[in-house]
Parts: sequence; structure tokens; C-alpha cells
Amino acid sequence: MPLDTTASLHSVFVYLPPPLREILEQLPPPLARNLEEIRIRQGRPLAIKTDQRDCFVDQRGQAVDMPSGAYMVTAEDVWKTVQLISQSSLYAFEEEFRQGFLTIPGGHRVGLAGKAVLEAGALKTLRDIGSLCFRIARAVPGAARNILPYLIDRQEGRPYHTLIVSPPRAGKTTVLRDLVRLLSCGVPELKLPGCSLGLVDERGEIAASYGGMPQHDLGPRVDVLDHCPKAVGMLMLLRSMSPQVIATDEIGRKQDVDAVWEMVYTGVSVLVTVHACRFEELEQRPHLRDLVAERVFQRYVFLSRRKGPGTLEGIWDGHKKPVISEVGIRKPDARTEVGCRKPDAG
Amino acid sequence: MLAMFKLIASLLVICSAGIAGLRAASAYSLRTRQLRTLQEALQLLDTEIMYGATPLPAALSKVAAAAGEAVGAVFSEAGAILGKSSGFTAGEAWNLAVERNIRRTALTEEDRAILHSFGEALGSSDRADQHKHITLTAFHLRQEEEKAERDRQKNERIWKYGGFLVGIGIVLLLL
Repeated sequence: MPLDTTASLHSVFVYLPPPLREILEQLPPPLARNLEEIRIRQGRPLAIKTDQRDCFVDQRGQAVDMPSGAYMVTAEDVWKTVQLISQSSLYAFEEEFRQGFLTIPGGHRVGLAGKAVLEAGALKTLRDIGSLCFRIARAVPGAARNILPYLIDRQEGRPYHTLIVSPPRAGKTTVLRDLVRLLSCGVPELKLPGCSLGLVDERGEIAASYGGMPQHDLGPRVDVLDHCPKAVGMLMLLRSMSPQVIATDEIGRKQDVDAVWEMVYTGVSVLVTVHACRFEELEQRPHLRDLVAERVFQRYVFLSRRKGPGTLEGIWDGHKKPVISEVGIRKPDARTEVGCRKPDAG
Repeated sequence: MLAMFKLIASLLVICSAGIAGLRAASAYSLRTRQLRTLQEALQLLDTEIMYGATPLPAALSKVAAAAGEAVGAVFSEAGAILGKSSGFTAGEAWNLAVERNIRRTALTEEDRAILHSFGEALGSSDRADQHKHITLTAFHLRQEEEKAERDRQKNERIWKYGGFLVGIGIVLLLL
């Protein structure tokens, strides 16, 4: 079942120590509903970010614009938060601390900043954590409904190889998650039957698996490799789970791109995302430019935050030609949004 | 009639004193056994941490299942407190569990101090450090076990028979 706002926030607040929890539980509903980030910095004011506002929070849970009126986070607040997000088991999260973030149940990512500990010149782990950033995950069923029709090859009866291109926090994970769900369930109105998908969820954000069960609704036909490196995971799924579509988030490294090369000529559709804003940026990335030049991807979906997370900037084909310009996406006053802000959108 | 009454009363006094003596004697052997069980439980916890990287709530519950009722209760309660995400750190949960359950064991004040010291570093460092910490605690427990075994050999027999002898002595005094 998809997580609603209350469930989303509750699954974050249980990982905060009582003083912070009590403050944030008093947030006014409009702020709570659109809460995207909680920033906890030792010795500095407690801060939050919504889709429209970047502010501090005072002792009573009210938003304030000036830091002087805000609740000051203590060292104990930070230490206890680290203990809670790691279930008081720092040893069990050595890899996550080395990467600088971990994912808590609910699919929320907690970024960490502190003192780097090096070993033989390489980063071994972080200690003395001084800042945490909770990014709140919300599934938005229907977020990708408007774009799905453009991603299906009617002749072949399967999805195109698709690359979702977006800058950070523009909704690409949310859109990917909903695409996976729609493909898995099928869409009767489009006469699209459900297909089996393999999902490599390297950071545990897409499916938010806990105890082997995805907590986000991904439909009935998805096999999830949780916290598995993408390159290895894609090949494993291909060999073991006979998927019709393989999906993963944020490709960019050489090994990820090599795995995509292996996938695309096996008859499996590939659905991946990448951090970028424009085509030109893709063409400048050393490993991605070959994928673009060889026209491996048949669809490019461009997202931005221009009108809020999930703003659709365009869908292009493998020849860099816009696919949906006839919908008016290029008109200056066009407001084509892939509803990421309201649960009942789409 | 009076003689029968005196006989029954004498038997009751001797049995009561004897049972009290037996219980005191068994506390010595029970403490030795529980200290041994604690060391085995810590060994199991060490394996869960070092090789499984199992987070503490699950690791403590697994150890509790293998540690018997008295000692296992400490691990079980600590795991349950941590599993509820109620804001306790591992050290706080562990110390609370020790305080709530130690009276039901035969462990002494010295043993409690070792367990509290163990709680201080529980879960708050990497695997290698946790392993060192567990090893050190197991070492202290082994020392206490050796002392407890010496005490048991010295005192168990005294308490076992002494209770009955005291009971007989009381009866003789009263008669």
C-alpha cells in the first residue's frame, strides 16, 4: 500500500530523539504535508524544507525565518539521532557511514556529515557526526501516469529503453517508482498488460524494502534486489528472475553503464535514471556519451523543479527529437506537471 | 500427644533450616553456571556482530533465546527496548534491562558492575572495537567465574549440611 503523509512522517519521527520529535510533531499541517527535508546540525538551528519554503523551527514547532528564534540542536540531539537511525548498532552500518548516508525504513534517506576517517588514503568511515539531513520519501501513485503512454513501443508490445534525466530532488525516483508500479500492474485503459520487472534498489529508496517486503506499492510483478550494487544486480536479475524490464536509479559509473550495455541487447527493456539537466550534460559525461551516441535509449524523460518537483520538461526519442511537443510542452505558458505534489493527482 | 507435637515441630524446624541452607548453597553453584552462560551468550553476540553485522535488537533477541531463562531475560529485555525505537540508546536499554532482571539471577554486585560497564560501549563503535569490548567483558566474567567456583567449593558443603545442623541445634536448645 502506498504511504500517506501521516505514515511517512511517523516513520521518520520515530528515529528522532524525544526533544526533536516533540517539536516536529507540532508542525502546522500545511508544513507537515509538504515536508521534504529535516536538517539537524549540532549547535545550529533546527531547519526544515518544504516544496515552497526553507525555514527554521522554534520550540513550539512553528516556522521562523530568523535563526535567532529557532530551537538550537544540541550535541546530545545529534548523537541520539545517530544512535536511533543505526538502531544503536554503528558496526552494522559501516558501509553506509562510509558512503555518507543510510536509508531508514520508509525509504527515507539520511545524509551524514562529520569527520572523515581515512585508511591508506581512502575513506574508511565517518565519525563525530555533526549534521544529518533527513530526506522524506513519499510515494505518489499516478505521478507517471501521464508520461507512460509515450514510453511504450506499441509494435513490440514492450516499454522503450528509457532514461529519466533530472537534477537532484526533481522527482526522478518518485517517477521511476510509479513507472515500475504501473508497468507491473498494467494499465487497462492503455490496453497495457502487466509485465515482470526486476528492480535494483541500491540505496533502498525506491522500494523501501524492510524484512524482504517492499513498503512502497510496486505492483504484483516486481522482484527487488535491495541494497545491491547496480552493475552486479542488473546482471543477477537478468540471469535469475527472467524480467521483461529491468529498472534502477542513478546510473553514471562505468560499471553501471557497462551493465546497461549488457542489458539492452538481451530483449529486456531498460528503465534507468541519471542526474543531469540537459542533453548536453549527458553528452559530456564520459561513460554516458557513448550510450547517447549509439541511440541505446529510445526515450529520454526530462524532469525539473521549475514548477515544483516532477515538472516535465519534455520527452525525446533516441534521435533527440521531442515526442510530445504536440501536447504544447514547448509553449511558454504550458503547465504540464507530472503531479508530484498532491497524492490525488494524475 | 505432646510428644507427637514436639516431634512434628522439630522436623519442621530442621527441614526449614535445612532448606534454607540448601538454597544458600545452590546460589553458589547457580552463580557459577550463570557466569558461564553469560560468557557463552557474549560469544554468540560477538559472532552476530562480527560476522552477521546484525543490528542489536535482532542480535540481542537471538542471544536471549540461547541463554536460558534467567540470563536470557536481560538480553531479551534489552533487545525489546531497543526494538521499540522509544529513544533509548543501546547502553541505556542494556543497563535498564540489567537493573530489572538481575534480582532474579544469582549474580552479585561485582557482576552487575561488569555488566554496566559492558553497556557503556555497546553498539557505539565499529566491529573490531565491539569485538575487543566483548572480549574484555568475557575476560572479567571469567575471572569472576573462577572466584565463584573457589567460593562454591569452600562454602557449598558448609551451607548444605550447616542448615540441617543449625536446625538440629535449635531443636536441641528448645527441647
